[in-house]
Amino acid sequence: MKSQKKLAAVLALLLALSMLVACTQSSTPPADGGTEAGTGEPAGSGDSEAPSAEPSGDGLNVVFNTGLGALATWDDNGFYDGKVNWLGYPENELDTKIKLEMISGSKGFDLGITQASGAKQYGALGLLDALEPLDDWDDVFEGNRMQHSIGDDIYGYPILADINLLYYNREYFEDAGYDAPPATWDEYREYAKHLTIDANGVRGDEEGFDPSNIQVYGTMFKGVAGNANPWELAVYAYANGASYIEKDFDNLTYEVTCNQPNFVDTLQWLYDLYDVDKSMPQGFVNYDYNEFEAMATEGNVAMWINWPSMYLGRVPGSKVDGQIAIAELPQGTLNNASPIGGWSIGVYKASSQLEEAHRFAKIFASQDSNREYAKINGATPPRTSLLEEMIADAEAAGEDDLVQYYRAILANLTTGREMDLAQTNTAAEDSQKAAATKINAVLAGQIGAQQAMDELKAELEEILEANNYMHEGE
Amino acid sequence: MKYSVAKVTTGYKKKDQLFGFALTLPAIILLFLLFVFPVCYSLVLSFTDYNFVMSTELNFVGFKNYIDAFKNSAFQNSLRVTVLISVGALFCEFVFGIMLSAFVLHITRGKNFFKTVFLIPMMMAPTVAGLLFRFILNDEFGILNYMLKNLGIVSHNIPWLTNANLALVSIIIIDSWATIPLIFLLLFTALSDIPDTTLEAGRIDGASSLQIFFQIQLPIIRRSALLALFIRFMDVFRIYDSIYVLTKGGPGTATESLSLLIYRVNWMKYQLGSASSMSYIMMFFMFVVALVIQYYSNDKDERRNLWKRRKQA
Repeated sequence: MKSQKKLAAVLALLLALSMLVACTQSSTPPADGGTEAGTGEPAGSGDSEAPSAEPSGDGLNVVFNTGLGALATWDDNGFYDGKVNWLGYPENELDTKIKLEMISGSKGFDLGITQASGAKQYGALGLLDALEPLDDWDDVFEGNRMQHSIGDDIYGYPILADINLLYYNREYFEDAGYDAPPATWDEYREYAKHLTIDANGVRGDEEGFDPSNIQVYGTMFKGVAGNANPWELAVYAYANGASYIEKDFDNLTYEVTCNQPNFVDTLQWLYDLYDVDKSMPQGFVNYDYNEFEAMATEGNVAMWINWPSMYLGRVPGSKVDGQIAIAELPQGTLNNASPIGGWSIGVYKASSQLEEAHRFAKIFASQDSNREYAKINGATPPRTSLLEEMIADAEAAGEDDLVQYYRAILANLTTGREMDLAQTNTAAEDSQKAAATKINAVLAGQIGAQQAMDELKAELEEILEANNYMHEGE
Repeated sequence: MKYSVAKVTTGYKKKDQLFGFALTLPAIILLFLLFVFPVCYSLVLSFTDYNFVMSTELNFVGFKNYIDAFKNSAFQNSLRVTVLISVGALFCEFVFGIMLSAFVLHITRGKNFFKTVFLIPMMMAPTVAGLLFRFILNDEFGILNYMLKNLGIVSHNIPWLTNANLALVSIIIIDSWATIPLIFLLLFTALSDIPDTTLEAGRIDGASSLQIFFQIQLPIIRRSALLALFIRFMDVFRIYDSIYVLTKGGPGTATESLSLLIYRVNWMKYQLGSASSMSYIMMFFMFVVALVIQYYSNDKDERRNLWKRRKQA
């Protein structure tokens, strides 16, 4: 009996102790893929340590998206002489982690590498310290510079740029009698219809076409109600001079314009590609990136638009390896501007090593660093000079496909602009989600394009007003 | 003598009770911190306009969040979706659960084999099941459409997850598939416990198999069945993971359940006040249904007595 009591007392004591330890421990999440700059070794090896909740001065804590890959190996050439603790989180968790960490008071991060909407969002929230322009700031694409700045205040140095490209299957094009990609979006629709083939080999624009049994689709769209579809719709909308929100930064005013005729017509045009022309697979409404790219790499689709990473990442080794070519986006009624994506590095105001963090940010966003990172990850650098350099290298190596790929990126990035919906500061996630849901409902045939966009306008106005958009801090 | 024994026993008990309390104190504190505190805290939050990102101030807004929730079309839609899924899934689960239980009860060979096989879906995590079905139901690559087309049952791909109504049905089927084993297990155990002599008596009285099932077996297992209903209702009403994996609440908001909406309001809008009020409405709804189930788990006489006692009180 006594021994039983003793055992129970020990167990109770252990429970109490473990609670005490849990309460006193750091709230900073564990490092994932953390490394020490210059070594590429995981954090925890050598003299590298996992970061604490309080900035310790022992290295810079940099939070980033694990999807960006081997960031830790970026500094193999030794650009930076200090110590870095890399804290990686999946893209869908990153925003929440940053907000929880930096707003709730733990404030363990010195720098953050965030998505397109990150710099403006956190800048507007007062979390980021304004950065000085880089010496060669004009070398960075204009759209990229704008999407990380509020007025004259820069909150993020771009480290990579993302832009949509036109992908097409050369063999399908040759079979269809096309020797060049479509130059306009009207041509794109014609091409899509003609490239769609049923199981009997009849094309979408021919007599006897059987839409219930299609073998190859002309095109497709990422319709999933994540945040992919508002970005992709923006590619077509911007080309037609339409936008979700018109902003006047001089007078700090905005107008939600997603229900204007040119925007609604663009959405209707997209729906017609599926509903009228039968050029898109039925399930596209629910496709995520994986399913979308799998359709393409299985050879089920003739042309589509997507981010550059697919070309170097998913196409090689797939069924369509060697068949896929890249081109500039077709022209709309106005231009071929596409929303720019990409990631930037920013410095948190709460950093206890503010000066050092600024020094690191400059080094990390420098031309040399951009070049190195592009080499390691195949990422697109945010600078004109580097893309020109890459084109020259590819030309010298006689890699025509790669030349075409880089040229398309350069051309599209030059005309690219910030994604107006993502750049709504604190309302970024909410705005994108609202748009994604409405677009998805239209594509699923639940609601008409005009009604959906009228409803979206009302929702966006409410969201932006609630977030004091363009008047933050007043 | 009698008195002294009693005194000694009481003294021993008190000491023992104190020791027992001291031992359980850390667990009580832990329970308080992890359960009672968050529940109370979120109740307080539900009466405020607290937005985690926009402001750290707590302004009390009374019942505004509760009233706004009922006015909110997204909330109404989510409540409708959740009720539809719950009713549909519970119906499927009970029909198939009873059928499988009756089947295993009546076979003489392979009982253990079937019991094991029927339990396999229960061993799968909802997210894994969701991913599995996302591929099975994919309109282009999915094996289901492929089979249906090759068997000549359909001529074109069926949009299982992209048509609003079909997506809802698909979710009900997938949730049922994963949880029929639980219902089967509970009902089968209850049915197995019925003595053979009771069934034999029914047979001697000339009852058919159906009559024995509906008039003898089912009334006997009513309590177990209602317990299963109770457990499953609590579970299915909070459905989140399989929907998130399968449709993310789409197409549009056709499959956005209450849990999904609350997650969105809390973690994308950071409106902790609104999200808390929605959670409490959800909890209240579940509580009412649980009371109804609890009430009907008593037989008629017990229910009558309950009312009588209340009237007398």
